[in-house]
Amino acid sequence: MESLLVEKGLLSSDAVDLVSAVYENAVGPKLGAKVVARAWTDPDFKARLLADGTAACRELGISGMQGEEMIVLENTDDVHNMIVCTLCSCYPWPVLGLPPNWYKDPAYRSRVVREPRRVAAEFGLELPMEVEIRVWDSSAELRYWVLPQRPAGTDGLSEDELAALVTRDSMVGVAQALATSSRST
Amino acid sequence: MHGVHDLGGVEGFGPVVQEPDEPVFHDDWERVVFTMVQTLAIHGLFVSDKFRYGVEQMPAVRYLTSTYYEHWLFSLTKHAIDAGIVDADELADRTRYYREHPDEVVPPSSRPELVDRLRLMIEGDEGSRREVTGEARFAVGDVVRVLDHASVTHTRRARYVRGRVGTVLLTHGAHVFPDTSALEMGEDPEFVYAVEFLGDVLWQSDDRSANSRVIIDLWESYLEPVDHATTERSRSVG
Repeated sequence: MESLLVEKGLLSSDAVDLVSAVYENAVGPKLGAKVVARAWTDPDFKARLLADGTAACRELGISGMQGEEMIVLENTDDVHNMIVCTLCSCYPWPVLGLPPNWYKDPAYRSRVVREPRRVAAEFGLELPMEVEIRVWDSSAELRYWVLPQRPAGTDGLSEDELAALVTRDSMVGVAQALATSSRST
Repeated sequence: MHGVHDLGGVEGFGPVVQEPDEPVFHDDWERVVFTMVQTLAIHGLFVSDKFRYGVEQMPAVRYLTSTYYEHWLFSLTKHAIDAGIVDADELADRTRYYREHPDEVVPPSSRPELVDRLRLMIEGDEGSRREVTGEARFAVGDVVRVLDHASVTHTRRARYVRGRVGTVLLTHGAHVFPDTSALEMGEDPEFVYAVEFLGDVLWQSDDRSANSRVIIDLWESYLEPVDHATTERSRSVG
């Protein structure tokens, strides 16, 4: 197929190179982490992010395909959010990059809406029964993602140091942000 | 359609398998498949709804036993053949040639115009939101039921919420309607709502879904209004 589409002018290796440059280098969870770290340190930005995720990300130069309309969900002591696409694999590419295989595989897609606590536990995330879990199934073109809670004991950290604590999994909702040094999940 | 892609709540898939330090693409061909989907979309072969419908038409057993980019390859190949962009015999011959010459690679090629259009696409387009003149039928807090009949073509009305009662949590404005867009029967934009379902309403009340909710985006014509008395009854039934 590749060779036929190249012959027909519908594909070129420099197009493949562009995809590689964008999604294997430029775009990935580091961008989402930058947004989260800003939200942790700037309450006004956080308010804008929760009100209009797309516009707030654009302030930091972050936008693009599969993120035309982004909605950011705030985790609190009482509510924990998780994202999924049970029908295919919708995922907020501009802030998280392309999804890992487990996000696209049947196990996660079938189970997280049915038994979110057990799924979270498989990622090492124990969610107490009193915490309400909200699982967001991205069935339309809105792209949801999670603003994790800022870890305790991070008051003195810079925005860059905070961003290093924000993992892909914490923005999907299958993990918390990293603690400063002790944990490595 | 009532297909195996519609996975919410299906039992029996076992643990979630994570891969430490997973690469973005696991092989060169995945990168090429990803790119082909984008360039064929640029060419106008499909919009995302039509592309997803192509994936859903993959034979069920193959869907469950193949990888994500194999799904993509199936859909793009189907659409390219259906549209006459590629001939099925020509594709079979070329595939055989590369199987018999495994060391041969497709030579490098350059199409600056295609790269420019791809770059624009990656930067994002107008999305699926459309301006419509009518008013939204439902408001935040309204109690709604998802229509229960099965669709035989593309839909985003996931099986696990069909017939279930939930509450409108957010209104998203009007968006392209996937059920018609996938069939190239028009964008027919409709209002979309994030509808919240209690775990106890979706599933049997058990520890597995305790204190959980699912929120899913649903188009207006997927929904019908419900009065609160009916809601309470439905919740007590579970």
